[in-house]
Amino acid sequence: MRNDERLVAVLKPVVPVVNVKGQYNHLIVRLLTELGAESSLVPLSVSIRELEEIGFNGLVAGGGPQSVYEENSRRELRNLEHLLKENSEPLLCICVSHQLLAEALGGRTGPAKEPEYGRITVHVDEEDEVLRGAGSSFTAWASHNDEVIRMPDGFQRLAHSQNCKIEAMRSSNRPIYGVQFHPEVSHTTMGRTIFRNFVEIVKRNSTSGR
Amino acid sequence: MTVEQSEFDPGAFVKSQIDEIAQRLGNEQAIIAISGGVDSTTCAALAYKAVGKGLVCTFIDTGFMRLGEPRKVRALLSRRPLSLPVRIIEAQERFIEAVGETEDAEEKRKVFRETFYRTLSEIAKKEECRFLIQGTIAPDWIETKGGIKTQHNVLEQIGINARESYGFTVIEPIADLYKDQVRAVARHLGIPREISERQPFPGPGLLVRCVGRVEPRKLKTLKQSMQIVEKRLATIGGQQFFAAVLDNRIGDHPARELLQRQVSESLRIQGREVKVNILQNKATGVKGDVRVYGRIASVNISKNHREVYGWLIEKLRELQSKLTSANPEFTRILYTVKEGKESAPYDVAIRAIETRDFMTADIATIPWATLTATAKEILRKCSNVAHIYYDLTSKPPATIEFE
Repeated sequence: MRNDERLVAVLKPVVPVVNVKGQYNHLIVRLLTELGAESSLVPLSVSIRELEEIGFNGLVAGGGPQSVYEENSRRELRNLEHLLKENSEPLLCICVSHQLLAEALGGRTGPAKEPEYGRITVHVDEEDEVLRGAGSSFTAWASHNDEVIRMPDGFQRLAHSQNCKIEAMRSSNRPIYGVQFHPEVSHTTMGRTIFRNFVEIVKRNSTSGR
Repeated sequence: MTVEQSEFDPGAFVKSQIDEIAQRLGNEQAIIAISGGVDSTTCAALAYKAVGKGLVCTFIDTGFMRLGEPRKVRALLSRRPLSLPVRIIEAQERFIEAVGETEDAEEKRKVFRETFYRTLSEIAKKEECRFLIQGTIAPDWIETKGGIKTQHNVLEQIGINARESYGFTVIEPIADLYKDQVRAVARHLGIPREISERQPFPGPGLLVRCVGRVEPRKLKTLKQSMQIVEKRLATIGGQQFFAAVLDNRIGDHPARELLQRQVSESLRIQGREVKVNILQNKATGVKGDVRVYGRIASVNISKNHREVYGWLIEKLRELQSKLTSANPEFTRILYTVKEGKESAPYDVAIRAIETRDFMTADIATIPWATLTATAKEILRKCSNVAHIYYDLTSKPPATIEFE
């Protein structure tokens, strides 16, 4: 990255949101914009080259109605799956995208024994960067029938809930995150904090001069 | 340091939208159907500022309005600073006939939408309006596109060509805004507080709160209950509170006993003190971003316990979570507050929620005494009601409205 590009990224990082067709995808764009990033919805079919053309500094993939181990859903999500593998910028995957991330990188997703709809309590195991300031537990809103059963190799768990073992995870050596709950909805008390942390991660990453 | 934007600038928005509407309309006339809610009123005010008398402002009385609503709204809007001239279009019979015996939630919404636009398109033709201004906001079209439910005012986004079907082009000045932003715009425009802070009312009105088949007496019971709930909960009811009417008919479902056990375990009350019924009516819900036209369970704790137990809202929230998580078909859990005559044909559910943008909702904590007083008044005024419930369900897994 050139120096002037880095400066622009510090002031206003470009963080598109992949629209996985969930109801809340728009809220992610709204929050990122309010937090000073440049954001818009991009379709499931978006390629890494198209993202590079708009000069993205980080990526968020939203939730959706799919079930990743179901054949038709998986086909619908195939492009996103490639994207998650190819991408080298900071990445935040939410709900179905979090489950897809697990599958794409060698983990496993299956039906939840006790699915969560609405209010849950997220217990933080490791604040790391993305949950910094969230405290030891917080109220969040979730809506999922499936869940990550096994994380990919090289991932660590950041949070869990009573019914769901992996509410948040990250790659140990790259800024890649997955969360099962929805940080973008107003009932998730620490949602704004999480997105603010992610925007900071994106800014730091784009100035690190890789 | 992160520089956070000062959220949203209503002044700048108003300015740019007035310009844009004026430019798009040119010398053409536009029609708008006002509901008296903040969305349509804000659009009307924007358009009126843009084109003045080029705007034909109507209020279609569908019959699914609250008691006295059309006249109240007209009076409010005709006041300064808005001074909007509103024409009331009487269309109650047309809507009741169109809905007929339709029972399914989605079918009812579709019939309503079709009748609404037919009616509007006839007036537009008469008045020579080639544009329709409407107050679609972000959640409306997100939900419709996602297949959760049919909002009555969403056409273009789901591929219905309004020009071909109804003869007008649709302009949606606030389609990218969320409710809280619309309210900010409304306040900026000087719209009276009664409207700018008014709780939302669904497009199809009371149709979606008259669960299942519409009957004249059922609708009347709903209107009376609505009036009582709005009056009683006005100061404590959360961002939105309303009544819905259901049929007092119990459906047959194999999960009934299982639910009964789950309730008894979750609340730690003996099984014989708990009664769970599965209603015949169904209600719209959303689980994992997928629409579920789900079952409704009512939980009835024996009177002794209900009084002792009072109103442990946290326990009841947990109960709702457990039941809807363990039983995929269920999207509503209702808690019995009071009982009337067991043989009466209808039930009434009180729903009160806390929400910022209507994308998610939590149930409101209402003092038990307020709730029982409200229930008592409904039973006193509506002799055809058997049970009064409080709706325990958050969004998700329920939607805000029943249908």
